[in-house]
Amino acid sequence: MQKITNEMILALAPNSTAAVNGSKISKKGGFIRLEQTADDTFFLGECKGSGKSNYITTADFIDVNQPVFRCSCPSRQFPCKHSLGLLYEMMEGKKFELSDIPEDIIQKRAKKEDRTKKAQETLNSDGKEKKTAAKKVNQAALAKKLRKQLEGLELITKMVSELLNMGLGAMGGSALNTYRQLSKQLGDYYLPGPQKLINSLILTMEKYQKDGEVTHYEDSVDVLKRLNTLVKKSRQYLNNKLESKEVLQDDNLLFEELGGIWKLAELANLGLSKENVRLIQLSFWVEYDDASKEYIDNGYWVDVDTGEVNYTKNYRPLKALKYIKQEDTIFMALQVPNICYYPGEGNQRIRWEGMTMEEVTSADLQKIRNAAVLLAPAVKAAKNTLKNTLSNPMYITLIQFSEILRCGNEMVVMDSSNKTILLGDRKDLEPTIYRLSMLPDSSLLKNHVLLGAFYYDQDTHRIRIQPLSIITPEQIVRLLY
Amino acid sequence: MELTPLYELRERLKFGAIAGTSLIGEDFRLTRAMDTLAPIEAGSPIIGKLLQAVRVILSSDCKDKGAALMDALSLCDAILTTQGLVDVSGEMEPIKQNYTGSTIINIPYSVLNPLQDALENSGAGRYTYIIDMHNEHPEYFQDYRMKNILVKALGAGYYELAMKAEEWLSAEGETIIPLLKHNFEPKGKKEMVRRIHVLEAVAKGKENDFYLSLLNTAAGEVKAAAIYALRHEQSNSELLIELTKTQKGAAAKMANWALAGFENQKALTYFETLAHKKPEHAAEYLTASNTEEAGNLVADMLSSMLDTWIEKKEEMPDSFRDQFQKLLYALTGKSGSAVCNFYKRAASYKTSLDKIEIGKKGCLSLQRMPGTYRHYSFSKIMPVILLHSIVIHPSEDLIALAAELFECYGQKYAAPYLMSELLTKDSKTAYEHAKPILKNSFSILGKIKGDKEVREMITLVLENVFWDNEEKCQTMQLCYYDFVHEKTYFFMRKLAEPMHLGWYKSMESCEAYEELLLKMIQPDNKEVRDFLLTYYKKIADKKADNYHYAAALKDLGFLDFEGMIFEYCEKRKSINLCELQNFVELIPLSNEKKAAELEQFLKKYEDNKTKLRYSDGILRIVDELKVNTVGI
Repeated sequence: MQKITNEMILALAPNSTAAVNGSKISKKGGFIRLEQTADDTFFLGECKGSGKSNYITTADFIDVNQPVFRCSCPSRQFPCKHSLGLLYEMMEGKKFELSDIPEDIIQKRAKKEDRTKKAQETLNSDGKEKKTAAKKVNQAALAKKLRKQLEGLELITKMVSELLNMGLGAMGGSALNTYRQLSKQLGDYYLPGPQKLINSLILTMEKYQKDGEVTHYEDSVDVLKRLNTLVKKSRQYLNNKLESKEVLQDDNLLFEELGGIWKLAELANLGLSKENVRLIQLSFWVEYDDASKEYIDNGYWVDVDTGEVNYTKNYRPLKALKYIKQEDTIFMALQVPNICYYPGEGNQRIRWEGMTMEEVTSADLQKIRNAAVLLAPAVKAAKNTLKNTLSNPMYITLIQFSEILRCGNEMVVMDSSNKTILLGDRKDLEPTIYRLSMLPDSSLLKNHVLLGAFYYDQDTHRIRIQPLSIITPEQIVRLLY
Repeated sequence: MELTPLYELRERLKFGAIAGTSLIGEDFRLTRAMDTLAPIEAGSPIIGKLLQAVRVILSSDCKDKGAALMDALSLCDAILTTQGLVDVSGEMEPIKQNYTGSTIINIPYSVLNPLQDALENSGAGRYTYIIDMHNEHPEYFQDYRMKNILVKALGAGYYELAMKAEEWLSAEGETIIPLLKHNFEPKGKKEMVRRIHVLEAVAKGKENDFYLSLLNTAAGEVKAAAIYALRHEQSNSELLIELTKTQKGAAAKMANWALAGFENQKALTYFETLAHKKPEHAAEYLTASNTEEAGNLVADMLSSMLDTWIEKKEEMPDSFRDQFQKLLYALTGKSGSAVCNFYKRAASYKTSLDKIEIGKKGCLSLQRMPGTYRHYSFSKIMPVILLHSIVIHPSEDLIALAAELFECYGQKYAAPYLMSELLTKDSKTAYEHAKPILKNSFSILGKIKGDKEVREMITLVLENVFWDNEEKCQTMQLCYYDFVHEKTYFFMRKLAEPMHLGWYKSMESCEAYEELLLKMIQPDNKEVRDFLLTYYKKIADKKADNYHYAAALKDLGFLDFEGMIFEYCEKRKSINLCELQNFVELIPLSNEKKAAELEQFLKKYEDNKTKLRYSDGILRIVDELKVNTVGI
């Protein structure tokens, strides 16, 4: 029998309600027939439902990293509650009768295998996609798109120039309407990235008009700085591409900053991938971005073998909220066959398809702890990342600490070389510092490893760390989620 | 590197963005900041680059001053970030843990965040969500991240939620104290008041110093709560007496309430003086005390008022009645010789005083008394007060008094007597003693005639008897009014032994007690259960409305429910769909069988070609039953 855990089911479920409903079906004895193949790759359940005939639910583990669930119910959720119920039956160790694989499943498996073969045939030995005639990109269309983007950037430059000439103080009422229209216009220029920044600027100024808080000016200046740098660098980048006639996608960070969306195959083609990675999530949170009207699920993961801390982002626009699954805290280790990295500095965004879950072992925790560094090199790396206007405003890494202490009203991290740094709560993140004094055991504040988010605090002109998790030899203590 | 000039330059550039680049050339502070940095320009190429970038903004040739300003700001910020301060100086000390009673639980975001959100914010449905979560996963509430959130929930706008948080935190024990005192705002509002309540619950007088410290800093309701918390230490008597004089409003009241609970001479002398000066106030505050001294004081005041009443023999004004009522409230729960003598004296007047009217309404009200909102004449109110007193404080003298008054005045004092028997005697003896009263009363009740007053008295006893499932015993339950916090709560007193079968048999003949008997089911007494099973089966077969009796039958372990849903529908002239849904849920049959009975009912009407107004609703219930085919 395949080993199934509750956490695995929760990770597969489209939402927590589906998992609860699946569990209820299993508990109430909803399955009247359970079957499996002798090779332990295929499981079938016949489940009572609201329809006249029973639903036939299957779970195909021919690829354990990407099990396939099928159900005859009309639900649009995937996997549906019946599929999850079947997993609960497996988890509970219910008795499955031995049977043969149904004919339709054999055919579906064959089709899938064909698709995989075809996909592999298009790849070189190094995993990159072959340049075939069928895949030939329309370079003229791409060049046209780049020119359109350049036009849009000119529009933004003009707007920023006019705005700064008048000053942010004059950005009220009718002026805001003009910027709102401009933001809409940018949709025609393939520039969702700068469009989001302009929306963010408008929102900040709207907030200022409501409450008169001068801190909103600081936020506006930050957005304008980022916008200015993005426009300037992008203009140069796009012009270079047009001049060199190398219009194809490359690994430049600006592609994503301008709003481009990477496909996993494209990242793999650029060599931004790695095989057999063991990942452990160290922190998770969800934020809402009002400018792009979407929820973003952020997960920070450590590569157990290298100690690198990278992140996943799952965007859930409000318009499509019910169709996109919210990601969640994962307490298990993930064994990922192939992971892709986004271009960038510092913490890199990562993505994968297919994985298996395993228990976090003490060896994993030891490896994570071994990867932690002292404050001095961590601060150096953080400063190098944070100084770039287009970089993520925080740099997250693992730090060895000898003690977390109080200094007046502040809290301080001290490492074994007696270097110190102040802790702080970033304004965009839920506060975590107060939770240090809530921990059940004060020994957690001595000689462990801290997952910390470095950031520059403009008010005090200091580099600070927001504590996110503490890694001990026994466990990961999450200060956030 | 001295960074102050850089900070100043950054500030000026930011103001340039706010005021507009058209005016930036006129900013003399910007020029001054540049001048300060100029001397290091040569030695530091990056500063040179920055100053050059600023000069571009100021030059008249610059075509896009906005972009130049943002370039300069970006560079300035990059320098400031790389120069960002890191090392910390100052005295360092270990972090004091605010709370050590928790554990670390792996709770995923999808659970912890909504729970946190429900506790911290407002919105419909959150209370049920929290309660359900607490019932299903109490361990989540032990996570270290939840404790602080629970403390914040003490300030929730939703009263029930705040009270739940208070209840849960009060069960934490003394480990929660540092967290309650952490960030305490003496001038705060409800959250701080409830923090004091939790402190009182877990530490009582051990936190007396903390309460005292709040006297100088706290304000409003927090101060009043701190003063009331001083009642846990007898040594606070003098201070509290002082506070009754120096404080006003709620704070002064709380000092009085706190003093009322004390058993010392200082407090007694204070209330004796108050009884002379402001008897109505003394009467109110003394409700909080069950000491013999307080009882003596209240009894003396009542005797004195009774003297005036008898002497005048005419209608007494409203103010007299109000004060008299307050003293009667205060008498509840008190015992002692003076109190017993007052009961005896009051009983000796029998109904003679009922003829003299008090105030406009002509009778006494127990509106704020535990468990009742009724109006009584003087002769009726005294047995009721004695009954409640026995439940609240079953002292030997009150028990003996109940027996004595019953012997002297008969049925009028049947209720306190029956109550005292149930609380003190074994099951059989209590029944044997009650038998003559019950026989007499129920034969009257069965015919719905006779002494209504006796029926009322017996009902007063029986209507408050409940089965306590947690303690597995029968209890007397009174709804008690807390004058201090101005809220009601339930007061429970365990019966000496569960009631004898004889009580049930005596009540069988009276229809009025059908529903009352439902509350008196003893799940682990087979004799009583079998008797009631036969009793309710008879009723359910006879009556159209078998909704309540079905629940009783289920509780009593009845198994043969087949056909009951069909009967329920058929016997009724009109069907309340909501009630039907509840009834269907209640019946312990498989959902398939339930659906079949409803379909059978619908089919009957179809065959008769009669249109049912609520057939669509019944069909919906049938559909739902089919969706969850497994059933209850």
